[in-house]
Amino acid sequence: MDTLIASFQMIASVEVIVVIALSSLYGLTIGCIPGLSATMATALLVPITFYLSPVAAVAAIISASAMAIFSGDIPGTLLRIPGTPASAAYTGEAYAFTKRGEPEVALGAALWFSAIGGIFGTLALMLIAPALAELALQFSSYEYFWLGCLGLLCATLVSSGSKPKAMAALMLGLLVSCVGMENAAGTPRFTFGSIELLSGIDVIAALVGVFAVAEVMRAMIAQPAPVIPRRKFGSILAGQWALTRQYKRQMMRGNIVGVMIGALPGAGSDMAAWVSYAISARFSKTPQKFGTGHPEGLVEAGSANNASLAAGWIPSLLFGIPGDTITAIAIGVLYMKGLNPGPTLFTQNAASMYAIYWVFIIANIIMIPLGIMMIRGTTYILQVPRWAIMSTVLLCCAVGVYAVTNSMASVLIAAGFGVVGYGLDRYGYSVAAFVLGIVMGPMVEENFVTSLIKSGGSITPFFDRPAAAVLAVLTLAGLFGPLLFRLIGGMRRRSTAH
Amino acid sequence: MLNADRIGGLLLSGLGIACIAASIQLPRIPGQPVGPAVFPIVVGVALCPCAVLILLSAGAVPEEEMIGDDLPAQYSPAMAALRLLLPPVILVLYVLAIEPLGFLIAGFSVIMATAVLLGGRMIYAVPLAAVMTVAIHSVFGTLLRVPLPDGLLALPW
Amino acid sequence: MERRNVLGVLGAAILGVSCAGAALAQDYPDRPITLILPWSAGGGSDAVARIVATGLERELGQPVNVVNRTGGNGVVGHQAIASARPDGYTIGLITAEINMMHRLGLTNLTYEAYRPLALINTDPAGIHVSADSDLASAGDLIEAIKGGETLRFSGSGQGSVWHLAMAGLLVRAELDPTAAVWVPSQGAAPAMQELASGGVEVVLSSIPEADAMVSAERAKTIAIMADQPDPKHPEIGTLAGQTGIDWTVASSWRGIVAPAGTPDDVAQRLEAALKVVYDSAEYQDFMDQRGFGLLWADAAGFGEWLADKEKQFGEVMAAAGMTAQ
Repeated sequence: MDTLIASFQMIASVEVIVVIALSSLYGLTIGCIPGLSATMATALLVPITFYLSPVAAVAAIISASAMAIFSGDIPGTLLRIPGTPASAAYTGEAYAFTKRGEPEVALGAALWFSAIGGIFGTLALMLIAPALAELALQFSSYEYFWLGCLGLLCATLVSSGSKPKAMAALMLGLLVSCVGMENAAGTPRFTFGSIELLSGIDVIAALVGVFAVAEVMRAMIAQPAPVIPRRKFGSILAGQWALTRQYKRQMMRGNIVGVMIGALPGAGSDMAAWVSYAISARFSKTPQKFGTGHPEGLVEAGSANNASLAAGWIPSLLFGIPGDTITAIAIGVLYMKGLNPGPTLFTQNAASMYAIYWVFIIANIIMIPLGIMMIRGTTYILQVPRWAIMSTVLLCCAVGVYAVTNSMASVLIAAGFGVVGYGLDRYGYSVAAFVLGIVMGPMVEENFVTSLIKSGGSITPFFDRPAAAVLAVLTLAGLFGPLLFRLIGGMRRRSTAH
Repeated sequence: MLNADRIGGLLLSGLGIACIAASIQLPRIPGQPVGPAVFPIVVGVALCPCAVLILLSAGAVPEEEMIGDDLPAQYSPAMAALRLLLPPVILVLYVLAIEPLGFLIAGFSVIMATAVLLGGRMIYAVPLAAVMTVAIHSVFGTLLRVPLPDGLLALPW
Repeated sequence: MERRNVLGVLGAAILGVSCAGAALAQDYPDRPITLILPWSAGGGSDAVARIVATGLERELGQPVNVVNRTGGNGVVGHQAIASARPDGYTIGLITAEINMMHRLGLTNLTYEAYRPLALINTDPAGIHVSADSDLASAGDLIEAIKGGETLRFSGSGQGSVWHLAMAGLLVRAELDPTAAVWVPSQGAAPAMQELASGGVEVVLSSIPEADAMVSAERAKTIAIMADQPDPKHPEIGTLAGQTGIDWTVASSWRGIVAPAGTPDDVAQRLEAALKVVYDSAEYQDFMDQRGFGLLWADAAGFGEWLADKEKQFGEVMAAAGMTAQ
């Protein structure tokens, strides 16, 4: 009880409250600028946390990253340019709402289910962190390899249109991820002698290219879309309660998947969004509605990416092993502030720990009013003439990708990927599958190669560990299941015809 | 779409084969049973059947199901191709110009060029470009300490 | 190929001196300074770089901005420091990888492309095993390998300083360099995860990198590769003490450099400022709290350190077959 009161005093200071408010606004702004991910929002905060008290520093990171993950949905919905990789999975779906003139429905769902997912993830962090961390520690590269494969299987599920083309786009994405020397062997591949390419193709630069630059390119040859007449939006949240009741199963599934993926080191909110959206499409009663402005997938994926964000702190706080790229940065800040991760943090620094929980809950609650303001403000973008939006977007892209790597080469990469992204989309190759390949490639390859190094080239350990076996069965079922079903279905039809 | 898919399928199978060929030449790492070549080879091998399927099904997909195939005939094909490539070209010019000229001038030019190309009127485009460039510089350069080059012109803050 | 490039770098350096020397004078610095870091935000090197930058800011009266130029196992950032204009307005933090990357065939860049300013930290390799491991000392470890057991080591990437620590251990123990397997990882944290899940048997990393897992009783440190035990962990023996094997060269270290050709007066100004920063209570307390090892060497001493490491790393890498052909 004393620690509870002490923790409350820690966050009730003027400094912490001001920091939460400012970093929330900062996160909302950064998230909705194409080219700046939630990870980047966190990285750019590091120098500033230097001057803050420990709890305020952690509060800044928590609020900014939670807001940025939600806010990444805004440009995705309004302009078809996802602000963060976590939003890229369902950008097409959300944009379909805008084309229909109902952007506030998609954005309201993104906001409401982001907040719910965030709170669910926080509860998981508070109540079952040790158990989840225990589970996470059982995962070795064999399990991660299968997990990565499961992620890749989502490619055909998140993309509408031709399946071979989606697979081809995925493979192209995986090839892009091979560039550079960030592979297990530390050997430069496909770098054509360039020092800049040694670090590989930055995911954000590629994402900005295929979505934002390609969108500006499309604008160059297409007529401006007819301006949607401004009508008065109803309450943004009113419809959400109905959605919550209608899709409560999907929401819970998204929350749970998000927490699981978040708690596993090395897989973050990006993967959580993709996997949840794919699960949603796979088990939906109306899969044909996906991609046409259907809220079901948004509910599930929106909950999942924010739930995973909170759960990512579990292995970070307990073992100093980051759950995702955001907590990888946050761990550095924890050390810097004397909140060294480890079980002692929960015993010796219990008040600080509770303070961190409080910050999570506060951040996810104030996300709703701030988010509503943001939605009401940003939907005016649809009234702004296209030339003004697109020209500003192009400069934001250039500055944003430069800020990620501090290298002008990233701007050139974004320009090149603009051409690639336009071409893929124009000829029916799924851009979402392409991005999935770039995001997941390093994880799949690294775990594949290190597993083989560990086993001395044998593949038995891929199957004889219990967790690995379960994941392997899931992956193989996902891969061959549809084929099998079709074969059995075909045989049955033939036998009944006889 | 028939021809586009044939070309796409051929390009992709070529890429798959090129990738396998390039990967085979990658060095082996002493002490590692699997070297850097394995993964790109797997991807290259997987790309080839996809490419073949695309080739085989070329033209099979009905026209209206194609995504992004809603081009207006406003520009001639050559003109459209030229206009399409302008945004990437603007970014390349920006990269070349930013060191000597500095962010403010290069950024202003990016917004101006794109705005005018998209049909913005000068009288509105100039103030927009000026305000946005200064705003972006203030947020990134000043607040977030992104090292944007000053070049010929620097902000007083 | 390599010699031609060293000559090129030297030529560029001489040219740099003659061009840049004249313009600079007593009023250095009169604008912000950039400190390039080849590693990402949030890591240990990032924290050290930012502490140093704040200290320098106070000493020099100009902002010092840390710029993370990551990628290519440090090659990109190290190259960026070397190719910056040698005017004292771009400096960098370099790490042990500089003595290895050119031997791995990744770049032609060597330590000679820099003007050393100060060495500010070093951490020896700690040998960590799972908490329930039978290996209780470095002696057990060597015996196990001699007995034909294939132990899997991890800790960081292929061709990293901890990989060299393993290779050197095998070479100096007169074992076959392929008697143990190096499992590359993205850093100490994923390696500790592999250790806990039973994927590898041994993790080599600095003591602070293993701290959280050791205090969670998932891992234990059996020895460190240093001349002296760590003052904060006197119970952990040294490799030489446990086995008689003299191998302490592969330690991680951090130093501040300027591009070669930076004028003398500017370099001396920076060196003096760095000394004040190093001695400041802020820096000392921070390093102590993080568990990072403290070691100071001035510009001349740092230069000798670099040359010495270059030679010793070269011998072990050649013996272990880590050098690219």
